[in-house]
Amino acid sequence: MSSYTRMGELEIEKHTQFIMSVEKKKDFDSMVMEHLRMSGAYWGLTTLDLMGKLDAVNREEVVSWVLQCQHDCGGFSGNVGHDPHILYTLSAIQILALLDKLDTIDADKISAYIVGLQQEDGSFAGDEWGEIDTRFSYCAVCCLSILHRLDKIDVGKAISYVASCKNFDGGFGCTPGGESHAGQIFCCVSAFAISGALTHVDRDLLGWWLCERQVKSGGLNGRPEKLADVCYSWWVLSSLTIIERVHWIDKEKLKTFILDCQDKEHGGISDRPDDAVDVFHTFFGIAGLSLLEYPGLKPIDPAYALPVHVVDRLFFGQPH
Amino acid sequence: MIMVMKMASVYWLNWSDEVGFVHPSQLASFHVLEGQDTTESLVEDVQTSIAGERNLVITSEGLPFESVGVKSNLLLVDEGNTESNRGPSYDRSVFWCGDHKLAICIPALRPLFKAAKSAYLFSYRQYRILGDLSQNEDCSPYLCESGSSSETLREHRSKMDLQSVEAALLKHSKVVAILSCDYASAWNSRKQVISQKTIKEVYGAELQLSALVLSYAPKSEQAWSYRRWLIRLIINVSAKSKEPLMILERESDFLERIAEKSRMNYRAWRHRCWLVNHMSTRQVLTELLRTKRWAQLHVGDNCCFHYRRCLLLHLCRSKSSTSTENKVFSTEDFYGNFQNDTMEDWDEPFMIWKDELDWNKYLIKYYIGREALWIHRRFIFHQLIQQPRSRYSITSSTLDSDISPKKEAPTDCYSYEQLHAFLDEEFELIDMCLNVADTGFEDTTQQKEYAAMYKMWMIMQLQGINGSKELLERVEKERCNLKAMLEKVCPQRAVVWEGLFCLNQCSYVEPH
Repeated sequence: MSSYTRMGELEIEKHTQFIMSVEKKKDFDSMVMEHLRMSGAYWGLTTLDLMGKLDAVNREEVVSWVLQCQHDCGGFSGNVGHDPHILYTLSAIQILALLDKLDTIDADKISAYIVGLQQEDGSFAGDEWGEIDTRFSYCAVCCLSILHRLDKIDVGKAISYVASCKNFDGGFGCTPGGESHAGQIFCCVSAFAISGALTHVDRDLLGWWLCERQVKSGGLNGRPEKLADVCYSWWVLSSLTIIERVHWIDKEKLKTFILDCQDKEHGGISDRPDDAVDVFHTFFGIAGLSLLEYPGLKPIDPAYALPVHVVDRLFFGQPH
Repeated sequence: MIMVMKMASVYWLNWSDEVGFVHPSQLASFHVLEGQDTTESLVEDVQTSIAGERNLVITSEGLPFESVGVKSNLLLVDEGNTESNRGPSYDRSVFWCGDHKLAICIPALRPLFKAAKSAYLFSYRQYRILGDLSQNEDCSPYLCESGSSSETLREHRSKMDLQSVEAALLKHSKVVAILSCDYASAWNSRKQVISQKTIKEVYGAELQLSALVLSYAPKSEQAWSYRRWLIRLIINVSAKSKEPLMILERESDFLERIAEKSRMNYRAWRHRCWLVNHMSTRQVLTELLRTKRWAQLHVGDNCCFHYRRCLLLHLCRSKSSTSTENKVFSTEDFYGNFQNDTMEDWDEPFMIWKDELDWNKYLIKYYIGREALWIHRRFIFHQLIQQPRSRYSITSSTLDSDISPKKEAPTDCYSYEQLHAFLDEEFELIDMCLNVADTGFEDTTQQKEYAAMYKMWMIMQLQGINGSKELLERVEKERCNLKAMLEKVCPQRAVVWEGLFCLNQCSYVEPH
């Protein structure tokens, strides 16, 4: 079988239907995801926009629900009636940026919430309960940057904390000394990129670690000895893009791997071929294909994880 | 669900409780095995349950379930029956409980979760009202929701009774946390209540709840985060006692079980690395011995080797610290526990790494083509040549070149000949692996590739530091041979090593 006949097409229509259907599911598995609906909405909506299908969604309804998730402290929760957290605050702001509805929120209030989460050593807690993780540093920096209020936190300290999480292999973990992990690397590298601090990254060393994530099947894993997973197509690829080392992996093989993870009958993308699909992997698969410049998809910004036209609008578009 | 709590509170140190979500036929088989039912009657029960989609509710004294519209109560817990051989009775078409395990039938999960969530939200609202009331300490008339009564704040509060509200909140948030392990708000509510408590049995029960959830959801971020929050609390509250050390020992057992069940679980190992900060030197040494045995049975587990790196780094730092506490550990102490390890040079950080390197070499030769082993070797090599106190450190070795300033040779260092001897050994290992006989299996190909990558790593590391003229010449020579080797072993990585060596220039710099 030649690679031409094997390589599938991207089933944009099917994936659109899949994303729209996720909303309506009422089974137990959907119920136990309700606390992270804000992130789920961000994944679904951004995927739709990348495929040019955002018009299928009722924007007013989405915005109204997002605003219901804001708490008095300024932070957003994953769903109505849940506790606020920096992860969902970022997802909320990303959604509003996508829908061009940032004028519906009080940016100073949200900034104050995030500023309150910064610790003495520059790290960020996820919420009032104090768990520290470089993911939260990324959430803080990305969110404030979108709100044009990055200067409200101590950026120098934030960056030096992230830099202290650099490992011997050039990678980054969740805290100093933490095992290098592609997801954490994405967060740290993107935080540097957004803050203009990429000098903290050893591009060759990290690029080498990242390109070693590509396995025989062409897919990418997140750490040594792990199986390939479509979500790493985003985290590894976006990091490689930011440090300008994408040519160190075999892009065609990766493209084929992602396409093989589609459920071509019912829509959606799974972590690896023939597994169950979900919105999370659908987003990262499509986002990865966008970075690989797959035809028919809008380009995506590797650091903000939003379509490039949205980022352009934020930084070069109408002032507000 | 009350029986779940009973099970959890009896032995606070017993963390072998487990929860599982099972298919109805599996549930039926558990009951049949126990001999409590005939197959026919139970299967019928289970089928009726699924077909009828009965609404299930968690009962608790005093909570107004009528108001939340739940129809029928089918979960009966007869607490008075605990004396009997069969223990508390419960709806057997939904649950099976025995031998520290609780099985829940999958079709029941959705109605259970809905009911639990309602109960939880109600009890949390009650708790918040009490909390708000106690903050607004005054005797002004308080209007309850109907607006008709005008009882005082104190009168109202006495009616609600903080203790019972707390108990209800803890009960229902536990059920929610068990059914939906990452429902953060449920865990947060518990933090609000528990942070007011100081009785150690309470903390033990909370650790047990986290362990219960992790038994079926070993990757649950909330369960791990809660565990860390609890341990921080315990350490703060009982700083001077032996409590924290005991907790750490139990954690170690617990984490090893999780590591077996859930391979390369990032969150579990992250938690394990976090604990190192709180360990005594003896515990670190115990962990090193323990994980050495474990790693040999799981040579592909990169997380375990990373954990060892954390332990070794911690040991090095504590040995180099001036604190007397860290230096107080005698040879006898060590021999008492670790009969098979030699002790002579253990007080040198250098020997710690050399020992690890030798063990790694043995594993590499025996277990062919394991990436985790080679990654570990890269780290150890990096440590050996970077550490200023390392005998192999380029910066502390004597330099023979007449260009360098004359330096008095440090007494604890080898000469540069021994450094070269070390490099000889490494290159010899690499050559041996590059020439491993092809078996036609994947692992021999991988072994060659990893060996080649390791050589590349060595060259890259050696290039980056100050060195004698002779050393640099040797490195340059090896670099020139690298290309031919890489072209043969891993041509698909050509772009990478061409990129790497283009950008790294090798030059001799005046040592400072």
